[in-house]
Order: sequence, then C-alpha cells, then structure tokens
Amino acid sequence: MEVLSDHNWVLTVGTFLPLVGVLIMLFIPKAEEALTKSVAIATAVATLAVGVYTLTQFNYGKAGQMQFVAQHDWITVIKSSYSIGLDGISLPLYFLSMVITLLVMIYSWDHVPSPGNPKAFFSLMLILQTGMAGTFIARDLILFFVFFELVLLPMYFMIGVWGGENRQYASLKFFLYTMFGSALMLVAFLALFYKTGAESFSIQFLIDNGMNISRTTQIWIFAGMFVGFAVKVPMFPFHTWLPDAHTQAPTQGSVILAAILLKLGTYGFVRIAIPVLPEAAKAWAPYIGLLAVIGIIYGALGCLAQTDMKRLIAFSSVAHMGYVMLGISTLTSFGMNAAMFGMVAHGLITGMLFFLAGSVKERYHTLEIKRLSGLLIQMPKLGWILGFCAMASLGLPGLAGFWGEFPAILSAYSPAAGLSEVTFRVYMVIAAVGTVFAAAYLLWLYQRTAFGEPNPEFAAGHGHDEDIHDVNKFEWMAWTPLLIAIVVFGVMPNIMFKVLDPAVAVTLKAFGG
Amino acid sequence: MPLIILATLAIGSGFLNAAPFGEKWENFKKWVEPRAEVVSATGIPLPIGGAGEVRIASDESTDTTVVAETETMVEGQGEGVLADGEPKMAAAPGSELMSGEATDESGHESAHGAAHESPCGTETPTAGVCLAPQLHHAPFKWSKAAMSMIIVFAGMLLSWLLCIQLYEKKNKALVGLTKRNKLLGAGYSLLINKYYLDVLYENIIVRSIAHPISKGAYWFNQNILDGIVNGAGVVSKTVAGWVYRNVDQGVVDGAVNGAGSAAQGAGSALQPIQSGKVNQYGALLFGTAAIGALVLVIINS
Repeated sequence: MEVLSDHNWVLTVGTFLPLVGVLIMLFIPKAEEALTKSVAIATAVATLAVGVYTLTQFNYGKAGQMQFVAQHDWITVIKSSYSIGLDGISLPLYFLSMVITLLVMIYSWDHVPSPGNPKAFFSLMLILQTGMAGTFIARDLILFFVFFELVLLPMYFMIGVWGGENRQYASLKFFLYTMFGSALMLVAFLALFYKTGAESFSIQFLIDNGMNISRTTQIWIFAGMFVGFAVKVPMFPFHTWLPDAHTQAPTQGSVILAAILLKLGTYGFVRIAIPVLPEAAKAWAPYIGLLAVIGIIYGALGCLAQTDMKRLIAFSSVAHMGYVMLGISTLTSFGMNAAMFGMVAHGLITGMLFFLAGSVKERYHTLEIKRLSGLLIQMPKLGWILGFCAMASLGLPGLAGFWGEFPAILSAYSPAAGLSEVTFRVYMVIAAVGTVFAAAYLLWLYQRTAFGEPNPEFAAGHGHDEDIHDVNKFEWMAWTPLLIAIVVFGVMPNIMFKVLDPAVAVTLKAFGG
Repeated sequence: MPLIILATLAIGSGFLNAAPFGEKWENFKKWVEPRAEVVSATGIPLPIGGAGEVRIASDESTDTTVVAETETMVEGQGEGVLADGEPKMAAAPGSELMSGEATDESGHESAHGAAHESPCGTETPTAGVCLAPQLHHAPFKWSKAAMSMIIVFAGMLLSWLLCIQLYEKKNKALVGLTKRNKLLGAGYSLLINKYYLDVLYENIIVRSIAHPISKGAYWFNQNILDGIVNGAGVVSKTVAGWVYRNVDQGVVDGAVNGAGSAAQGAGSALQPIQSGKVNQYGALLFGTAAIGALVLVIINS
C-alpha cells in the first residue's frame, strides 16, 4: 500500500517528547512542587502543539493512507522494525490522548491526590502519554506490544499508590488481568509471525499475507488476540477488573483509563485482528456481537444496582464499550465508523463524568449516592455540568454520544456479507433496549444526586462549608474543552466521520468494502 | 405553554403536508419515501419466466418514484427473463427496475442524454438498474376527510355541551355521575390515572428491573465472575506455595544442595591424591587417558 512519509519526524517527536519532560523533571528537587508541575504541564502543552501541527499537516484527502511514515531497523534479529504511521483511524485517538493528558494535568494542579508527591505523579502521567500515543501509531506488532505494555506500568503505580482504600487489590488485579490477556496476545502475534513465513512483524505485511493462513489456524490465532484485546476493552465476561480499577484509581487515573486505555483494546481489533485475519473475524463476529450485547444489558443492570457514583460510571463503560464492539462485529464500514466515533465520544463523555465524580468526592468525601442530594442547590454549575454529561452519555441526539450509539445499533441491521442477518437483527433489538436502560440509570443517578434538598449532614454550618464550593478555575480550564468538544461533535459529526471513513474502507478491504 | 408549542407545530406540519392542495404539497410523503438506489443488474433476484407481477411503469402512475420511461433492461443479460422483446419490466414483487439506458421501444420519450426525472437522479447508471420500492399511496378523497372532520367536530360539540351542562348549569343528572355509576366511575379513574401507564412503568417495570434483576446481575458479577477471577488468583497462589515448598525447596534446591554435598564429598574423598608429587600426577593423567581411550574404543566398536 502506498504511504506518505512527509514530515515523518512529527510522530516520533509527538510520542517521545513527554519522556524528555520526565528527564528534565528528574533533575528538579522534589520539594519544588510548583516548578515540577509547571515543567510537566509545559511538556504536555508542547506535546499537544506537536499534535496540533500533526493535525494541520495531515492530508485529509488521503486519510485512508498511512501518513508521516517513518521506518528504521530496530531489532533485526527478530525482524522487528521501528515503523510508525498515522491514518484516519489513529489520528482522532492519537490526538485525543494528548488532549486528555494535558487536561488531566491542568486538573491535577490543585488536585494531587494523597499521599502527594507531584513529581512522581506527573512523571507517571507523561510516561503513560508516551505509551498511549505510541500504541496508536505503531505499524509493527512488536512495537505495538511494547507500547501496549508500557501503558500498564504507570497505571499500576497510579492506582496502587494514589488510589482509594482497596488500591492494592485493585491495582494488582488490573495488572495481572491485563498481563494475562497480553500473554495470549503475544502468543498469537508469534503464531502469526511464524505462519506468515517468519519474515516480518510489520502489520501491513501481515495484512497482505495473513489471509493465506488456513481458516482453522486463523481462528485460533484470532482467539488469542481476542482475549488480549477483550480484556482491555473490557468485554463481558472479562470486565471485572474495570469497576475495581476505576473505583480505586485517583480521578486522574480513572479519566485516562476511561478516555484512552479502554480504546487500546478496540483499536487493536480494528487495526490488527480484523484486517490481518479476515476469515477468522467473520467466524468470530457473531460471538463478539453476542458478548457485546450481553455487555450492553449486563453493564446497564450493573449500573442500576450500584450505590456508589464512581462505580456506576465504571459499569456504564462496560455498556458503552458494548456498543462499540457491536459496531465492530458487524464488519461493515458503517458499523466500524460508528465504533470509532463511539470510542472518541465515550472518551470525552465518560472522561468528563469521572472528572465530576472526582470533584464531588473531593467536596463531600463520599460518592455514596444515598448521601448525596441537592447538588444543584449547593453547586449549581457542577450540577448542571453533571446533567449535561448524563444526557450526553445516554445518547441524546445533538451531543457526541448519540453518534457512537445510534449508528452502531443501526449497523447491526445489515451486517457484512456472510454474517447472519437474523442474528444481528436480534442483537440490534437488544442493543436498542439497552439505550432505555442507559437513560434509566443515568437519569436516576442524576435525580438522586442533583435534585432535592441537600443532605442535612452536608448543609451549611456542619463543618463542610470550606470544602463545598462550585467549580473552580482549574476545573473550568480542564473541563471546558471537553464540554465544547461534546457539543461540536454532536452537532457536526461529519468532521470526524470524514477522517475515519477512508481509513475504515481500507481496513475492511478484505470484506469487499 | 406546551399546548401553544404543540399547536404551532401541528399547524406548521399541517401546511408542510397539506394533502388537499395536491401532490406537490405533500412534503412528508416525499421526505419519508424510500429512495431508489442503483444496483448492479445481476445482483437482483429476478423472477424467472414471468413469475410474479410484471409491471409496466407508465405515465398514469401517480407514484413520484416511478419514471415514465420504459425500461427494457435485462435484455441480453438475464437469459429467459424477457424473451419476446416487449418493453416489459421484470420486477421483483414490491420493487421496480429501471435501466438508465432506455431502449425506448414503446414510444416514450427517450432518455438518451436528456435530463430526466429518475428516482436515481444523476446517479442513474449506464449499466445496471435502478431499484426502487413500489409504493401505493392512498389518494386524497374529500369524502373520507370530511367524515373524519365531522366526527372531530361532533366530539368537540358534544364535550362543549356537556361542559356547559356540568360546570355552568350544574345539571343534577350530570354532577356526581361518575360516583353513582360504577362503569363511568371506572372509566373516570382510568382516565385520571392516565390509563395506569405510570403505575405500569413505575411499579411493575421499574421495580422488577431496577431492583431484583439488576441486583441479581450484580450479585452474579461480584460472586460468580469475580469469584472466578479471585478464585484463579487464590488457586495460583496455593499452587505456587505448594510448588515452592515441595518442588522448589524440596526437589530443585535439594538437587542443588545435593550437588553441593556431592562435590564436597568428592572433594574430601579425592584429597589424598593431591599429594604434590609430580610423578603421581603423571600416573593419574596417563591412567585417566587410558580409561578414556578404552571407553572410546568400546563405544566405537
């Protein structure tokens, strides 16, 4: 396939610049907290500037092709190369990771969770950024795997050190569960490598040669990748690490986890598993679709049963990622576009919801839904933002969430040739019922927390007056871009669809477009 | 206020779709009609041998998607579909096929090069056909419309009269009627409770889903699914502990320690031969070489 290699330094710089920031931070004494934070944020701003430059240099007319391609020998012994590039599928996620990291850092300026130590905390976020951006630009399986795993470590420490009461359990569960998936994924990568003649780990090479592998072998290799990616998404029944990790993680960790880390799994399906092994993808699609719709309903039911606001939002991720996976499982360009859009929309909206949960926790020192009420009276602005995000999350037309959810459901009406229409139409109906549940748990959450009179224990003069205040300036700075993006993508979804569509078409070439 | 909004919307939509003024006013009909799409001629299941309805699109059709050009597609590509050369259309039931290149045997206006009103618009292909669903709209009839309007006005009049009797004149026969008559009373409480739909939603659907089912699903999540995960953790830990105690410390480390002891034992056993006498070393060397050679000879023979 033809690739464009103009300006091929931008991706390398954009990906590794955060590490330079970490290097500088190493030389700053721990006590200089403000300086540490400033350097970290400056690094994130510089990274985002490179990201913006990437956006301006991206050739939108050729969004289906890999651009900014750089290729160097890396580990020649195992025929792995440092090969990076960006197309319409990776661009939104690559850029989103940079935006989210910066916003999370701005939010962290006055929200460093206990036990403090901003130097370590900000460094971990920068390392995390390198891992996330790298995963989205890797064009070589070994490189992909390295970045994919690089993400785990900072997140493990973020949860394990800055997390809630049960952080040790949650962080270890997150790490081991994901490692378990990665191990099977690596085995699948190796099998793929040997079955295509042990010539290259390049994804493009594997796409060109993967279809020659016998169907049975393809199905087994796909199974390995499936587990690896499904744990990360997470798909039912591999999701149980998620509520624990989200609930225990500090706000910043939850936001990054929801906004970007979950997308590594779905991105893996779209970028690697499906184009490389089209036959197996077809064989697996009905089962992926089944698990996706189970996830939708199951996640929603889980939400309805929650008594903790943060855990409820975590469970809603299971349901939302179910829509994304349903779109992917149709193997149609329509469904895949919807899924990619849904990934970004979910990143914006659920990221925002976790920010809000964090701020509520900071003010009330609890997230128990029963004890919270009357947020709109005590903090009208925050209450309104919560309402806005709840609406966006339940898929209200005109906001970003709608364009991920509704087309994904619609795409199940006519799946790719060779897939059972009846099966997918049943999925479509179930998924549509799921939207009702989504409205139910989100509005119920909103009703219980935001409406009514404030709980007497938090009323004025009960010792919480200092903590309970409306949105502060760092919160405004961190949240406004997300809120604007939710509206802009809701009103003009085409600005993203037109970037995604050509790349999706290339990805689905094996399925006849 | 909501009523005013509703009324405004109703009037607006009424004008958008004003049936009495003829087809071109019926905007909704145009908007919601299925669009024709271009498909490859071979991709359509055609009724072979005249099965199904053969429909000729003609001028008398009021259907907006129907093009008044006759279409003789399929000639020469679908064997046996059209044998007699008549400008007929083979159409799957419920669908209509139109070719872009009308051969125009029936005397209609030729479509060649001319801008024509095709449901496929400018997309009309030179090869392939245009597939549009067959639509039947009921034509507007004043008689039917008048009937429904009369019913509506009669209802309005009746309720107006009733209201005057009930609220203005306080007619004894009407006041408290719903309390005296059981049937009317039932109807009254059905209406005042909004057909019990809220009760259905709140007490039956929501209670049954929000409470027991979601609790059950969450229990399953925490105890079964997470139980498996935690169980896997506990089992691995137990297995690891057992392996460590018995295999690692017992067998593997035993072997290492054993090797150490063996080396120690061999060392002390061999101490006497380290005498420092060169000729003894020579003898040992020679003896070892001889044994080695012997072993080689035995193996090779």
